[in-house]
Amino acid sequence: MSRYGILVNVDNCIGCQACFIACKQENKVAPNIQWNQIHRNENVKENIINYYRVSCQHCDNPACLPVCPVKAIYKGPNGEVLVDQSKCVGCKACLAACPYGAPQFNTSGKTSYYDKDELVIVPLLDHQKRTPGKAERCTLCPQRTSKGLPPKCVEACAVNALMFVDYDNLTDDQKALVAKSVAMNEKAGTQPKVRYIASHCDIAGLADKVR
Amino acid sequence: MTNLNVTLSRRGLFKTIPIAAAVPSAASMFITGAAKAQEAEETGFTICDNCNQMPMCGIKFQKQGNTIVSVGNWKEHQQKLLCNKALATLQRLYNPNRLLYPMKRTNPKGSDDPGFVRCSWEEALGMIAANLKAIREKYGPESVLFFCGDPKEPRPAVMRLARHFGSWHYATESSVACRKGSMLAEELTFGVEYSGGGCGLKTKSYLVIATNGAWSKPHGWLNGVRAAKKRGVKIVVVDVRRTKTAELADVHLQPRQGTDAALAAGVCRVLFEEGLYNKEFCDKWVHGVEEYRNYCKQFTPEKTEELTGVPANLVVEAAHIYAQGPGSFALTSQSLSHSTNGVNNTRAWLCVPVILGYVDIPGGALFGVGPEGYICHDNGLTKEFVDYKWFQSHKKDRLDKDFVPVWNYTQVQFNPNKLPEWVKEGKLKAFCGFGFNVMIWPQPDVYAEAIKNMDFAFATDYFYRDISHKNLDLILPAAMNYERYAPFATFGNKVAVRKPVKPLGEAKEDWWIAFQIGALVADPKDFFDGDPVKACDSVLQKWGTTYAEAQKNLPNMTVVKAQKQEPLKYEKGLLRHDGQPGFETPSGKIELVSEITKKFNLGTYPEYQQPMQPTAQYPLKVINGTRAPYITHSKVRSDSPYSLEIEPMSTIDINPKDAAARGIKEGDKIVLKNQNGECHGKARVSIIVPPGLVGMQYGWRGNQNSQVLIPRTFDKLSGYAPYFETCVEITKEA
Repeated sequence: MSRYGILVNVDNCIGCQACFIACKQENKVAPNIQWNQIHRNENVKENIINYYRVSCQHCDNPACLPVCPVKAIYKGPNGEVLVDQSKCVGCKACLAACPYGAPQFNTSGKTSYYDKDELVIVPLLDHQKRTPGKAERCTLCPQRTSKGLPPKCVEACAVNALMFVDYDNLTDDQKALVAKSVAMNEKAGTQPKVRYIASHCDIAGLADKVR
Repeated sequence: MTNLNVTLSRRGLFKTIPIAAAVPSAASMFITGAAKAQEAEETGFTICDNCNQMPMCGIKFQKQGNTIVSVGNWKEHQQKLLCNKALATLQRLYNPNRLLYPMKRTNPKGSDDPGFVRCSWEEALGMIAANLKAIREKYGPESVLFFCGDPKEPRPAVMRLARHFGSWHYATESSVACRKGSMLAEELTFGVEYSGGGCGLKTKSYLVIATNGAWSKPHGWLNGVRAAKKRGVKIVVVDVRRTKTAELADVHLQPRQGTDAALAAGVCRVLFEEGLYNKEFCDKWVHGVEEYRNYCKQFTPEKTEELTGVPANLVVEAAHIYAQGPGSFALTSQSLSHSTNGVNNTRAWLCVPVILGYVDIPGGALFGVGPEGYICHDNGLTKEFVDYKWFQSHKKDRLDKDFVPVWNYTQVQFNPNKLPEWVKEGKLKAFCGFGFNVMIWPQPDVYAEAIKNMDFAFATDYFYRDISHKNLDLILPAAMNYERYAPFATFGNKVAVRKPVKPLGEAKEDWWIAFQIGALVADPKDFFDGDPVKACDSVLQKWGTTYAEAQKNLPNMTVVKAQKQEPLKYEKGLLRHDGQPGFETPSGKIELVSEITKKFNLGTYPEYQQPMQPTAQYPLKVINGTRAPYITHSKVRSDSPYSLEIEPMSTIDINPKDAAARGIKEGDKIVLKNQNGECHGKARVSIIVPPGLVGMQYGWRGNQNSQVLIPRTFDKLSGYAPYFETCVEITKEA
């Protein structure tokens, strides 16, 4: 068994947005639809500015899954919380239930950054095909993890702020990091597999939502 | 402008110019999805051009046919950790708004609609050649200004073009602002550029001077500093802002903006008076120590606190920490020099490692080395390639001689910041702009108007840029970083060449464009048959390789003949042209007292000068041109719209106290105003700036253009404008 997730080291994150761009490119995410975001939280007392990645938290006990009226939300083979767009009706019940505001809905239908075709039209890969208006969010990049590669955001992070982990097969070093980590908005109780390590920020007490 | 029915002899035109009639339509030029899907993936290599370039980070990409499908780290490359700016270059490449064909104007200058229409390369080049030759004939070659803006890549080719055309008025974005102000301080002090380095295994202390490398340098730098901190290296960061780099500091010195010469003198005073400085090194290698030491005496910790706002105890503690060397340092490339006393503020900080003897020592920053003649800054390639000697021999003929005599005496690049005046006086008649952007200047409209009033002007660029291009005669499409061969990247004794894709449309490498023009206005034999690879080979062959050989080595970089890196080069005669020990300065020593500034009656040691002061009317100081991690301010965000999604409008950092006093909350629309102009933006309420300071990036268009706030007042040494010194008031937008 595997349960994939990401450890976000807030102490190391500099807010560079490489993960944001990498995700956009890898998944061809539409304009203003953001699967992952960099948030900022300032600790005035300690004079520290914290940055961290927020996305679908891939909860072990996801609030979104049971409320979906058409059972479009399911768990992938490695615990990813995924959406079957062929079933999704875009009712946004999952968004209402999610403590993290993760589900995104492209209600504008806009899929291009431009009002004309890009100079080269590259055909979409399967994982990049989506129907505007239906739920979408971070997938943990199964198209990559199935090939032994980390999610694209993790690969793009050059400052050791993101670590891809398999909670069922942690190394000793990873176990130590997981022991130090917390879930965001811990009281939501959804057991996220995106967890945070932060020395200067009360991540567990934050109720950030993907905006 | 001279309009000619172009009947070129083609004597000078190289063969590769496409003829308009033979150009297929855009739609049929690009590989369609169906065709692409059948092709196997191949690997290509290039170099990013999306920040201040000289990091020259390597990009490895996958392509199908001529279409790039993904980009990532080129792990064998010296700078291999891509930031988001590099990742975003792929979106820029296929942006449908790219300029793909030469365009000529059809309506008179000053028209709301310039009426740009497509023309052939042959017509465009013919028009350029005819006009440049006519202007040279009538007013002399020096009446033509050659200018390289952003990116830096075309610089060697354009400087060579200027040389063979015969104009010594060759300027760059770096001679307007940016890097060369700091470099001037380095050269006045050491005789060569020397902006510090990272932390080696022997480093014990590190001084980071006014740079947030976490956001402005390749990520490897930050990782190196973090590793050094884990090893116990003590870090002092000087920065007016509370940056991610400053958070790493054992002591963060946070002076009031523009007071660095006082703060550095305060630190030096502690080192001098407590006997912590390296007297033996100073006696042997440093000029003007006693004069500067006497000057520093007035900067007691208390006086320093009064002038700079830095607590007296921190001034002392920083000196003590840094004295526990060997120490290294990292000097800003830009920020310090962007004020009216900018060069002296920079020189003052350089005095700190100097008096401690932390110069080219093991564990300290080493002077750069490279292959023969290599110019490290601004993609200059080699002195021979651009004929430095010729430019040096014409310094005295340049228009900036009286405006900035120290700059003129020391720099081969012309400082064009008095362009409006020189155009008005009829001294500059034509403008050849490679990637230029008027937004680099304070009061950009004044410069745009000056360029409009010249007899002839053209630019090369990736996109049509309204504010810069509207009143030009011609705009030429430049190939992007994935589509070019030249220049290659150089790191010490290694070079990295590219394996590009073909340019889209009729875009051409800017080197090709410069060489084509060169062949028409000068002797074609000086322009490598118009081939950028042959031009690169003219350099690489002297270094012991060729472009083709280096391509065979990919993904590895290629080792070339170069000076060996070793410490204490000044003891071994490796820094001076005559091979004697010492430094390439008038005194032969490191100069705390500059014999060059002295010669021009512009001071001796780096004196403190009180910066522009906040007033009741304009109580907030502005730093206009901070770095964000996802865009370099002289870039245009719409080139890669991902950047606009991250920051959709100009976002202005304001301290929570200043925001509260004005009823401003995060995300509120705000207005900045002073005696020079006003601009709009959105508030980011953040402790990244201390009370009394606000910061933002320039480069935003329309009413968000913050360059209108900056006066055309210039540092007497560099001629740079005070982007980091002006004061404003901020109000919430009604």
